Amino acid sequence: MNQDVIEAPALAAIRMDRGAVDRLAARGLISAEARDQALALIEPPRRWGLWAGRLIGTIGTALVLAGILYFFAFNWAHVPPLAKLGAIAAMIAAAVVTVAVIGFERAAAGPAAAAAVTLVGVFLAVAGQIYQTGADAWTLFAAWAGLTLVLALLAGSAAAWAVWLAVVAVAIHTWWDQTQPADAAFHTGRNLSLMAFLAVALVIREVLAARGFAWAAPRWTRFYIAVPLLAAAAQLAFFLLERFRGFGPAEWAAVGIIPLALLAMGAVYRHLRPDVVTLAAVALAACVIADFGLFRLFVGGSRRADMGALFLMGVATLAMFAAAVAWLRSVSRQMEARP
Amino acid sequence: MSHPTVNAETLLAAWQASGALAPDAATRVGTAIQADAAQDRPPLHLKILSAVGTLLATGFFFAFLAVADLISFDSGSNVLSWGVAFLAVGIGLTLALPRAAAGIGREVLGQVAFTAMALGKVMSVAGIILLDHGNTHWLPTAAILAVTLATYPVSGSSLDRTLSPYAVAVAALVEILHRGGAAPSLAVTALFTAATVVAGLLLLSRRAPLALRPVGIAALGAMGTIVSILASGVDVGLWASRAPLDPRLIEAVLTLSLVGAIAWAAGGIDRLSRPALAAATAGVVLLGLAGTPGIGFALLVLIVGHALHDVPLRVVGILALPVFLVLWYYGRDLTLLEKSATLVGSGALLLAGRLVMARAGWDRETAP
Repeated sequence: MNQDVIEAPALAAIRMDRGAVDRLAARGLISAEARDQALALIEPPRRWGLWAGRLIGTIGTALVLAGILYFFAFNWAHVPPLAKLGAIAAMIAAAVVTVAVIGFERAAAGPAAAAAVTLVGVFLAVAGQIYQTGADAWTLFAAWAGLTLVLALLAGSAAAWAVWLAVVAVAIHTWWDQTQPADAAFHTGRNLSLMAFLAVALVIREVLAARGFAWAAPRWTRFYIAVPLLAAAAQLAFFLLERFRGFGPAEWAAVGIIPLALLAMGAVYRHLRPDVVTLAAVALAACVIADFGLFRLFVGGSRRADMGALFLMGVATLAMFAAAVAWLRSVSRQMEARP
Repeated sequence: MSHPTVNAETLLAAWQASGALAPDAATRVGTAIQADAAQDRPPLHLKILSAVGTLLATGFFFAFLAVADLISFDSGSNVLSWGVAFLAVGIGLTLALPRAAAGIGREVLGQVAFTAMALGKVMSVAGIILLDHGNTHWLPTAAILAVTLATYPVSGSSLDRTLSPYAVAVAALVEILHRGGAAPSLAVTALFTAATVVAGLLLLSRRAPLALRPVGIAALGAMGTIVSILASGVDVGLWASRAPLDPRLIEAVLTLSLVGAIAWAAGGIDRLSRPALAAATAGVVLLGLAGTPGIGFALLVLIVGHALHDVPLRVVGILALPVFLVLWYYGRDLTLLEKSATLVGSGALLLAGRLVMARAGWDRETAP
């Protein structure tokens, strides 16, 4: 019996893609005419125009905007301060007016709102350069985030939120870098702050998506927040496992928070918002952290590993990742079987 | 932009309604579709998880063999013997895999097989190179090719089936660029053309066996590697190629392949005379004349990925496009003002094209 085979699903539950049609054609089960008909149903020819139009529009806009930036860069020294700030303010106004005129629900409103949020930061950076305020960079990012919060709230655009979240994350990062001493608590505090911010953002994203806010629903918005959250958790875990001594309250808190965060994400994306891809990202982070933890345990604080430790690590790594893959396969089947 | 969802029941009904499928064949095809859907094909996220595990485990086992002095890196025959032994274990376990009961034991077996195969390939090739002391031209390429040919039919992993042929192409490229020769530009062009032909035949032809599709992806990867060297200019490209390469023939081959890909996606070369497709063809020819191999390659990957509904290819295309755009504009020997004019001019040209598409109704799902 072939163990690669799982229980056959009903025809109405099988989503046909190009690969499935190609496999039927390759086995000679359908004619070339049937294959062409299937491909036209799966990917109607006119959708190519829609796809190409969006691609050309996006690249064209990006090139024109980049050209404008180059123009300012070329003439920067000769442009009077008021003209510099005025030009950027005019672009912000144009982006905001575009959103207001075409309406929040139109596809072009998202990029326009994101452009407005981005240009506010450019305005602040240019103002800082002209007037030489000497302020730390984190104040720029904090002011940027504060000034654009209302715009991001009103715009209801995933692109605008993506820019805003990145600005806040950079503000948190630079605040730690520029105001806090680089002592033992520095890495822990910085990564825990980032994790807390991203966790709140992820919860808000899930709540909004569940309540029918279409702009929050695209799957990429989940990955956009969840992947940096997992990366911050993994980086902090590596740091703690590498030190493994002299822990203060922040470090002990992190030792509890990191597994809790991974468990919480695992539970949410397993049961409340089933998503096997995000679950795989959580499993990958957990496996890599556990692998490094085991390695530290086997080498017992030494910098060099002996052959026994290396062999055990090889076996443990294989077992751990195989278990993760087997679990995800089983979860995936259960999710597919769910009505 | 998501694809329309078509289920098997709807598709069978459409085939029967149009007469493309005889009524007596519907049951047979329906059963085949169900059997095909029941095959367990690991999705991309599981492949990534599995690959990371394999990479880490391979590293640990390799370090174990080195620390335990079981391998002598001074002896090519010793390294080769270990490599062949690991290959034999990997092949044996891969052949045994389909008979194993589903569950964690089978996943462990799969991971061990993948790890043994990876260790075996690396050590076999390293052993052959050590035995030869790096004296014979093309030996590394021949060694990787031999290992690939020996393992491809039994390899159970599409990642392994893609990486091995890609390693053959990269070894050939390194050989051409680093061993010198009379005309490296011509040799690289020949390699690029061969990769284009292989990718075209294996990815776009209906008659190509599906089992060889990973070789097609590897050929696309080889094209991308050559294009990256050309697009990286004097900073990275020249470091990799050691001498300037003439890109014109490669650009011509790439432009032809782009036109071919558009014709293939449209359903035939005769359809290029339609206004929308004629405009697209003129656009890619202009792109080719502008000397933009990176941008052309990214578009090629996007078109092929979109047509094949291949998510990883589409992601690679989407990520490659801005990278090659930035590299192209960065690499021009122009003042900031000239670059500004070029950027605005080319952007305006694209936006004008977008406007034409909108006016003609080419960008709508329903005919105007």
